[in-house]
Amino acid sequence: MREVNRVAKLLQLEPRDVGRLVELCHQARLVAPEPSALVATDLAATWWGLSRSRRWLVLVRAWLGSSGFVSRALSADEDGNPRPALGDSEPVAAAAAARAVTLDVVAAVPDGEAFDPEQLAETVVWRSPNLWGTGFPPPEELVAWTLEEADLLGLVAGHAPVPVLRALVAGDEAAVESLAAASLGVDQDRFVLQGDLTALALGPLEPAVAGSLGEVADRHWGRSVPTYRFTEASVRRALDRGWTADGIGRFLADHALSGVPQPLEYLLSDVERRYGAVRVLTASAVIITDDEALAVEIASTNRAARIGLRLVAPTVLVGPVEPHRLVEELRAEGWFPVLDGGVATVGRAGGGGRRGRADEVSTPSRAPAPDQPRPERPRPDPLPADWTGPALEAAVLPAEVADAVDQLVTDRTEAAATEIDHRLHLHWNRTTLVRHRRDGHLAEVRGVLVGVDETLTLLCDNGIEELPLDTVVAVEDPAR
Amino acid sequence: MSADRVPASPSPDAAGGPLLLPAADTLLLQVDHPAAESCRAELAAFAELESSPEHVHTYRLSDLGLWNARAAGVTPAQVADILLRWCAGPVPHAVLRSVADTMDRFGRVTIEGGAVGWEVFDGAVGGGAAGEAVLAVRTDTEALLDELVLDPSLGALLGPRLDGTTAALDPANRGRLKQRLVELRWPADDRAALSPGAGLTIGLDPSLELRPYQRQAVDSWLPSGNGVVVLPCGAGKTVTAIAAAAAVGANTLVLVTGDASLQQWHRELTRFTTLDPELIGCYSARSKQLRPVTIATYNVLTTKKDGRLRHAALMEQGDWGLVVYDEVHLLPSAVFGLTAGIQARRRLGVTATLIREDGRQGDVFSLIGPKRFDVPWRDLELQGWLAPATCTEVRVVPSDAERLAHARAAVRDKPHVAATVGAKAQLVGRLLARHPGEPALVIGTYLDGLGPVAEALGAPLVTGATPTAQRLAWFDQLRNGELDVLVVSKVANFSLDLPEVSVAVQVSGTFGSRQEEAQRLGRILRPKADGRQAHFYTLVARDTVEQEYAQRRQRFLAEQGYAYQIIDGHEL
Repeated sequence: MREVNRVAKLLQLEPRDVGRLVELCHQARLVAPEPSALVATDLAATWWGLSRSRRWLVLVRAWLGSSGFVSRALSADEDGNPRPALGDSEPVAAAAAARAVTLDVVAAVPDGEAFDPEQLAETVVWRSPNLWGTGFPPPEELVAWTLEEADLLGLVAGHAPVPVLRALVAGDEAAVESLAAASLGVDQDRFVLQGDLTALALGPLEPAVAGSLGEVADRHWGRSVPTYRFTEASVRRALDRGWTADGIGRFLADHALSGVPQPLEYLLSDVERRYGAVRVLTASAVIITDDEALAVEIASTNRAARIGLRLVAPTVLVGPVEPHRLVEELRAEGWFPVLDGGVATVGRAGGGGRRGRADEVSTPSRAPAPDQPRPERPRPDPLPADWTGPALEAAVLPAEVADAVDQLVTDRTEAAATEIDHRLHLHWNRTTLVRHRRDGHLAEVRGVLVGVDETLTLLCDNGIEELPLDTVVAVEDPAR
Repeated sequence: MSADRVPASPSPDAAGGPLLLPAADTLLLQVDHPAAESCRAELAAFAELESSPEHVHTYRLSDLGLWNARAAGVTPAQVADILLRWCAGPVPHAVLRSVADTMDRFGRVTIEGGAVGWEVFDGAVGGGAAGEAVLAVRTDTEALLDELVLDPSLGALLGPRLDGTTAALDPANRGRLKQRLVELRWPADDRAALSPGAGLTIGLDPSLELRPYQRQAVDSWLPSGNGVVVLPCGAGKTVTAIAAAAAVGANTLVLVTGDASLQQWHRELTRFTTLDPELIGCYSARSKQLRPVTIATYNVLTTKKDGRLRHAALMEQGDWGLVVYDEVHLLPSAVFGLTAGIQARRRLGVTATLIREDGRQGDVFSLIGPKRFDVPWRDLELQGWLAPATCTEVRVVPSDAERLAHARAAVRDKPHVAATVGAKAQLVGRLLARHPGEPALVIGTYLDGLGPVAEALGAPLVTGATPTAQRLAWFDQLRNGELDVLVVSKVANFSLDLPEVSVAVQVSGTFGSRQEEAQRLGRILRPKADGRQAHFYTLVARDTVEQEYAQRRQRFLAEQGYAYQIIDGHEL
């Protein structure tokens, strides 16, 4: 029932109408129930390919011969509960015969006159008294259902027969076809494109055309006439699905009654021009090198080709392999990479060649870069030696962050704090072990370093720890 | 991509009429059908034009449209006749039934004055003390009044029942009652007398010659003293409203959408009436002048302090004999609340479209009144009152450095960066070269972008800082052909009345609202003596915020029926 309500909302129909339509499609073998779903049959695909009037005729003929009653779907049972949408069509042996008699009587109503349903039921029962055995639903109910269903199918309107019903009852096939085609119209394969970037169908569209149009433009359901609006998003979505701007243009030119408006051509080419200007790719590992030449060197090896490394920027390569394996592969080629989260860095020390010594190239160092010597600063409040010395150098913090922390500890200026904050945003989520003085003792806190100003801020298992800078003794890599 | 490709017309359904009825509430008019023009004229009486691009126009068949038609005296039989005559296929009986049913609901409830103590109203606006029954609600059957009384929210607004079909109505509830009646689909025909307001002679300047349709609009509105006049952009809505105020001859409050509008109204009132300028006041965030004729912004009316509307009393002060609502389709909802309280005053709404983005058309109908006059744009164009205009968007490719600057700019600075793209200056010259001898205006928002343009063209630059005498001299030179082109900043372009200008190039815009854009277009591009077409070019820097704005503008202008084209600057 929940599904029925959902579909009803989508199609802006009453749930009961959805039930009746589902049952009708079931009678025509267009859908088949499976344990947890209702699926379209192979027949449905063929059915979609027919003309509108033929599609309608398939439904009508299936209905005429069916032993079930569409109107029972979701109608109230004896206890007032709704019957299921499918599966309650308890076969009524005489259903088809009862239907035929009822339609016969309806077709005999003179032109321009309406029938009274109750009187009509009486006439039907009187006409074929043998048809209504015991155990059936009462004949009046069967007649009422038949009339309701005939109304649903458009065979009666306003308690009067329509011409196609008379032709159907008279068995005049040619008349049925031509009347149905005349009243249902034919599906169109053309629509109007307008300068306000809309497409408007002046009648029902062929399913295939409607489907394609729905892929390249947004269909607006709010109005009773389907209009389609082309937007950047709708065109981008179509490109995602494999359309090209040229392909969309050709489709539109083939089906537009009035040619493709020029602003729409511009929209297509605008979106195509920008489509793919930003690309997202999947990479398991990233390699960052010290300089461009090194990156090119790595990219040009056979190994790089084999493991699928791609140069995506002057000093950046990405690859589809796990970082640890990548490090091994690079080492096997003779480099000395350092694993840094998901990033392998490969450095070049002192202008040395590619096969340099490990300690020259791999360890992030807080030593100032040769071209930017850092001036010596007086340290107003020197911390213990083990804080300024090896502890920081050994920490997993990247060199530049370590530098900044050091500088902050040294001169405690706001500028240094801002600088470190900025750098931490680039490298911030690493686990750190901080040794600090607390109540005259040395204590350790392990956590993720997330901020440094007057305090070191750590995200620990049990919350946030803020350690005043002047109590900090050492910041270390906990793995050591 | 070809810029000048002329699309073939869709082949109209030659067998039938130009009208399609694909759903009960929608009519599609095939513009290229030979009978389209005749059909359009008749449709306007009862269907709302929703969009009018080049091939197929969409009309809505709504309750309000049908009630507007009924209020204007159109009968259900006339509507049925129009549908049957023009529709390409059969018209379902159910549609005709529903049209008749809907139309017949209008006027079965009337609001009348004078049931009890009617004279209270005479001469003293709102003089009816609260709770005093001076109005009456009348229904055509007892059963209908029973139904209304039983509605909880409507029943509470009605006073004691005077007889089977009449109930008293407190004037304070008049607006809310009408709103509720529209919600219940029983729209009231409000026939109760209106307050005359304080008398004020508003003479029209002899130079003002009302066009026939403007006079018709005033004549259609005047007898009821309420309702809406729909005129397309450039058709002279302000002048029509001024003529209505002159016909009423009483203190007038004009409510407008913003400061630019307020200035325009002030100028036109000063220019087209014989009113002493001292009698015209502006009431906005900047100045608070309360004069016999006061122009106020919606914004100032809806300003709140401590949760209360600070200037709500404006509606009651001044003993207004007429309240004009400019651009009534943009009326903020708070103003509806205030309007409900002044139902005894004359109300005139002017707009180019009755369709509101928020769907509150019902409130316009119940509180300001039904549509009293509507003239389709195409008619005015055919009669030569509006110049046919084409809009062209010219794409300018910024340099790499400019793209980078645009990318780096803060959101609020991006329009400025896009507006001052260097290539624009050269393009203006090439565009103007397409129209030799035609007076042209180059309009822009940012002075630093306009300077180079004026320099490249060797044309005078008019800015807010240009002395008035110099400004007027240049305008005169443009009028009499001594100058071909004038570069004007946004500040300067409001006071323009240069009917012969047929080419405008917008170098940069503020793109505040689509309506503002269309209005600017309508104002500058007046009909030309030789009937030549007007051209409105907008330079748009590619892949910048300007292109986003341009897309919205394009949709709006195309819906309004302007021909819209895009060309690449390098094609020039």
